[in-house]
Amino acid sequence: MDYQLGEFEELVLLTVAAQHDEAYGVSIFEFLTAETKKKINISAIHVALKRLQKKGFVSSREGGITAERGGRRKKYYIVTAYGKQVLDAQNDLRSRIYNKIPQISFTQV
Amino acid sequence: MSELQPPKWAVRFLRWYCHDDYLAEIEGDLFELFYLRTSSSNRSANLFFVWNVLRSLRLINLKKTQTNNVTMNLLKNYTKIYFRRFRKETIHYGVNILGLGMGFAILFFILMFVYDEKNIDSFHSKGDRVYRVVEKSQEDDGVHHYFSVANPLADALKADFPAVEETAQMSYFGSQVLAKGDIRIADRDWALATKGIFNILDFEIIDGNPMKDFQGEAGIILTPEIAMSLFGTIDVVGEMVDEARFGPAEVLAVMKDMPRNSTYQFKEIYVINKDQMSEGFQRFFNNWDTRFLQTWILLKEGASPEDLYSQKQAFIEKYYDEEIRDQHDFYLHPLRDVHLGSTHIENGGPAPLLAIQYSDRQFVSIILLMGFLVIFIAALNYINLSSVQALKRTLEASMRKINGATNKHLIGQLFFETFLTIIIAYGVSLLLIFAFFPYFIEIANKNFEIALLFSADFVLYHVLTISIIWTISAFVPALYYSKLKRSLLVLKNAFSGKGDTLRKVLVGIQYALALFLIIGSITIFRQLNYVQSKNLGFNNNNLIILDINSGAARRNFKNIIEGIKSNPNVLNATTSSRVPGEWKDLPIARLHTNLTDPPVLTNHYAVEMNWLDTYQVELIEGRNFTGADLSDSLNILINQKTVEMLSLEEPLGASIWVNNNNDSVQMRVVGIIKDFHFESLYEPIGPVVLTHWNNHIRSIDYFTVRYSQNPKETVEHVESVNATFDPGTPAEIHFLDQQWERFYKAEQSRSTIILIASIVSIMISAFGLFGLINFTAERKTKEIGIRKVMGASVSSIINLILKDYIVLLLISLIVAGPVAYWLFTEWLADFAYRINLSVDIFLIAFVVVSIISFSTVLSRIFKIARENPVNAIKSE
Repeated sequence: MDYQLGEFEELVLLTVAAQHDEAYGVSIFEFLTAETKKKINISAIHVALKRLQKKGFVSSREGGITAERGGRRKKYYIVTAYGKQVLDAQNDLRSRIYNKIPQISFTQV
Repeated sequence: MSELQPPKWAVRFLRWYCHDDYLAEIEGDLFELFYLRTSSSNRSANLFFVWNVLRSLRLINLKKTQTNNVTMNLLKNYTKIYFRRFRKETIHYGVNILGLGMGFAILFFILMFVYDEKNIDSFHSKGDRVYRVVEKSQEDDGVHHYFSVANPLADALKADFPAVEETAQMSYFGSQVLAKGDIRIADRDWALATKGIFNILDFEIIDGNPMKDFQGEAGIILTPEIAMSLFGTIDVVGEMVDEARFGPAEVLAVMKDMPRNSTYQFKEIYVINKDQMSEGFQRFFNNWDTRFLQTWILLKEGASPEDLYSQKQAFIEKYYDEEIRDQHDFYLHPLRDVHLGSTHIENGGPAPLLAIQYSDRQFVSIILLMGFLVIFIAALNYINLSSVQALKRTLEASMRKINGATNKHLIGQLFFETFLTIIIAYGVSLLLIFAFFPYFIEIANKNFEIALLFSADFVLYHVLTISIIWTISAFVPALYYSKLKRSLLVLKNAFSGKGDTLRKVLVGIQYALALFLIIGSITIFRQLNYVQSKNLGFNNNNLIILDINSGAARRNFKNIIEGIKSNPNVLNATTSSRVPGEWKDLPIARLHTNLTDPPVLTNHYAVEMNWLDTYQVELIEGRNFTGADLSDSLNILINQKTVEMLSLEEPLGASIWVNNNNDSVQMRVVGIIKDFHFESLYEPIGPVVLTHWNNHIRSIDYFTVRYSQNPKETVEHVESVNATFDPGTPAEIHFLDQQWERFYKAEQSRSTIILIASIVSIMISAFGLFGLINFTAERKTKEIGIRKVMGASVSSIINLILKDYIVLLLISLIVAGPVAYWLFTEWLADFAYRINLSVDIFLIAFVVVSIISFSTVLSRIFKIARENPVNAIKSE
């Protein structure tokens, strides 16, 4: 499988998959901020989502209007079958290599 | 909740820049985040919102501008097509851009060099009215020009000519020592001047008033550096320097260091008041027969030197004795010519030291011409390669025409593409300049900053260069492109073989220029090497010079020589009035065999007996001085040139009148020495007379020490000996070979610039050839394939491609060779000692150009020639 997936893009894609059918900008932002404990900017997530969509890893649908969004619709993202494959492949690769790590012990001196 | 709103302006800004497709998502998310934040604090929520709006300002989110302007759309399309072709034909565009970029870089480097040369001394605000008076003297061996003029001339000029606003005199009397308490400084960067100089030239006074009255013979103006070393402060106006060149001196003012583009870098200026000087000095200043002082003159606004010249005859009749009127004349030499136009003028008297040596306008013009030639070669390159490219674009040209483009559109397109190429090349050249600037400064021996390249004056040069090169290079390719026949469309990018002759002519011109440049650089380099490696007639390595700056040192010279010799590193030591390669003046002695005959002017050295051995000057006949002070004082040694000029048949033992300032003494020749060089090798060897140190003309001024090793230790030893016998004067020590190097330093840097420029010009030409041959090979792929099937050998294929170009190169050599021969013979004629332009220079140039040009293309051709013909025939 031939694909390009940056580290941050991968995190966003994972989140989209994890919050299946309920993922949108703010929810991804909050989720990732909580999980990674790092400062993330919302605009970075927007850019990542745009790239993921362009690569065909996610698709989107429009949601309803709510007051706290200043009358704007939510844009929900759903992982595509291809996106899921990519995640699986990525996960496979990681665990394959991880499993090759021999028993290493770091004894405290 | 509804009263809480994010800042309105931020929302408006977001809506203004954001693409409509993304606005709903981004704005919604930002609002949501804003309301989440308001639970903690409004202020932080506001800030957070603004921050997010700013962070969302990314290229990807921007509104796409839609324009209906036809021209804009065309340009957009041209740009797109340009970069597509760029990707497809990277070699072609790469070669073009690199060639132009290197050309620009060389041109800008050279422009900076020339600009700086032309702006030496340009900071003087009255510069266009300032002149230096030059003495034009009719002498036995021809006309001489001197910077030093009759001493009272300055005052007489000011008094007699209404056009003259101010005059001033300037001079230099060798080394000096400044003392304040225990602190003593020896410094050579000083001048002696009359007050008027401050009305003529610009000195930046920080504190005090240089025109102020003072007690004693001279007041002094210091730079902060000297003030700090002497007084420990720069607040020194009104203080006294205990000891200076003319006795204790009051500090009149403190002046800034002179600008870096100043010919002079004075650290001290003595202002003299002639009326307050000793009687001896006053006689000296009022003596019309002494020509010692540099004289500066400031003309009134609107006046010209002609106003002076019209009344000059009457002036000369008034002041000059009748018998010397035919021999002495003066004229005004403008300040703006001082740096580049002083090569024909000699010092005459002692002159203040130059921080920047005089240069030569001719050489600077040659370098400027080189710069233009290199960029011209780069432009020719572009024309050639782009014409060929244009001819390949039949399909595109036809499509555009069919869709309604006129010839003008197509010409416009190529002009635009050329512009893009040139702008990219310009960027490349800036990178090259930044990368190589430190080396350039080193080679050019300059001290300006890279900021000069972006100064107001230079921006104009940038614009001019770009537009000229743009126009020249775009024209021919654009013409080819626009004239392509529409019917060729059916042939699908068939190459229309037009313009072969023009292309060959252009390549020919390019190579002729490159050959011309390389022949020139080889000639210049060889000549300089020859001059520098020529035997001086003495050995100037391992010699240390110690100046004699006081009576104490002069009186104790025998003890000092003995003291210096006691060190094991010292091979020999001696003293003399002057040293070869001397940086002050060379005194003249007049020699007659018969007092009624016209004298032979010879350069005079007063020496001690060890002088010949220390300098390793060869004694041909006779004997050296014996060291017996009394008997030697009437003996002289002369060199071969003097023997020849005096036409002595029996030189040994001949009686010669040695005359200096109307004081003639008859002396006996005891020895003949071999000719040696005492000035730069640009000057022919002159006549020399050596007298013993105790002569009637000139006393000793220098010690010379020949050492075997450990120069540092030797210098320390010499310093300690000097301190023992002359505690009042700090030792001033030089290495003689470094003094000699000064003569050639400027030439070295100029010729290196020329050499580098010509190498780059060859590289650019080689790029061009590479591009053209690449193209020929591509076009002939099929032909080569068929020929190979028919049994052609690899070598015959290579021959097929290269034949034309080798013939072209030979024709270029035939054109460039004679022109170069003629021009450089002229150039060499100025040198006293010169090389011959031999055939091998031309051969080397030809071989170098061929190797550089063909080595780049040979591997490519070889590959094509070796390839399986089946692939070639299949290719479309």
